[in-house]
Amino acid sequence: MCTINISYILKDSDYPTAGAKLYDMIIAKYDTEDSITLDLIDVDALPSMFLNTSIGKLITDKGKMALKKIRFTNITKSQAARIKDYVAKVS
Amino acid sequence: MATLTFNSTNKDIWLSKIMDYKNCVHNEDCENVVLTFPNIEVKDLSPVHIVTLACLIEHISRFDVNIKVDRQTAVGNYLYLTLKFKEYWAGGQDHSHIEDENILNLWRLKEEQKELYGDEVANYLKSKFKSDKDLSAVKLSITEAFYNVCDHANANKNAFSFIQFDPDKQILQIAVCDFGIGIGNSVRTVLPDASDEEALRKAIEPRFTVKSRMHNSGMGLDSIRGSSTEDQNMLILSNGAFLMTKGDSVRTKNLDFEFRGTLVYYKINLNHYDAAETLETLDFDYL
Repeated sequence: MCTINISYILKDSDYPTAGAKLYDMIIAKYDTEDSITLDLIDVDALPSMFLNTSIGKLITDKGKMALKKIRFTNITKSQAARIKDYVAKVS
Repeated sequence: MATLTFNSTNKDIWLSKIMDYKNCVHNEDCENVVLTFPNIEVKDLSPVHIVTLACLIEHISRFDVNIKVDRQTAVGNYLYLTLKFKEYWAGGQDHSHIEDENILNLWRLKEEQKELYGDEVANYLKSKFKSDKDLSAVKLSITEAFYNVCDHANANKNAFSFIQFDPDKQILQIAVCDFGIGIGNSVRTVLPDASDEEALRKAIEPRFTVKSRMHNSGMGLDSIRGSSTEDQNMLILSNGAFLMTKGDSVRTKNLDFEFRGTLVYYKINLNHYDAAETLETLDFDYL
């Protein structure tokens, strides 16, 4: 299991670039880890251009079942609702 | 000298005049322009009036025209003294802080500042509402709106936003306007036969995208719509059409004039937002 700190990725990057970095980090661990935890501590908004280049691209490239390896932690209720809504709309 | 007179805050009349004056100054090749606002009151101004006027002034200023605001009128005085309009065009400011804590003053949208503005909105909300409410949706919506302008509008930096808070009703009013190509023209790059009304309806469909940039996937306007609370409208005016959503309903109509650009105006009722609540985890076992 590995944990990726999203706040760290968002620091000093615009949203599309940060999303692309996250995607690369997930892909680098995807075949070797049982689960990948995305830590949302200190993260407020999750705009579509961040989700498009990370989670959205993962769904496009590997199918939505690839998300079963992903879990979010320190996630707010509104962020959880947003991610679920996003996944439902892009899948 | 040209005098541009705004004597009604009725939004149809105001916006129609904005477009008339946009053409007029372009054609007349005048050196001086005076903006005057007889018979209208400051209390009747909304963010729509402010952002569209800012785009008009920005447009005119690019023809080396000397622009003056008639300070004999209450609205002219308000624009000059309270909203510090002069600092934007004579002072080159992109944003000017003002004393009124219910207003997040005009912000000039620039590609390099689209992230910064979201942070500024979040800081404004944090300092103003020292509550535990989760207002992240507001930052989300304004960030989406800014990216929409930067990605699709081709506005040549003529774009502004303005936020006003009504403390009695607890409603945030947000307006973002640009004088770019408009949603209709943008949508017609992929759907050449779409009318302006059809283009606006397509633009708010989740996953419909003109793919101006790689990170676009057609979720931006859907995200803004999602943040506009169910009891409030989201309005989009662009090219020859107007779209209004409220909850699940969507209404469109043709305009009597062409709005060359895009205006997005939405309201968020903060009474609808709950306290921030952190969950332990979210997984996708339900898929």
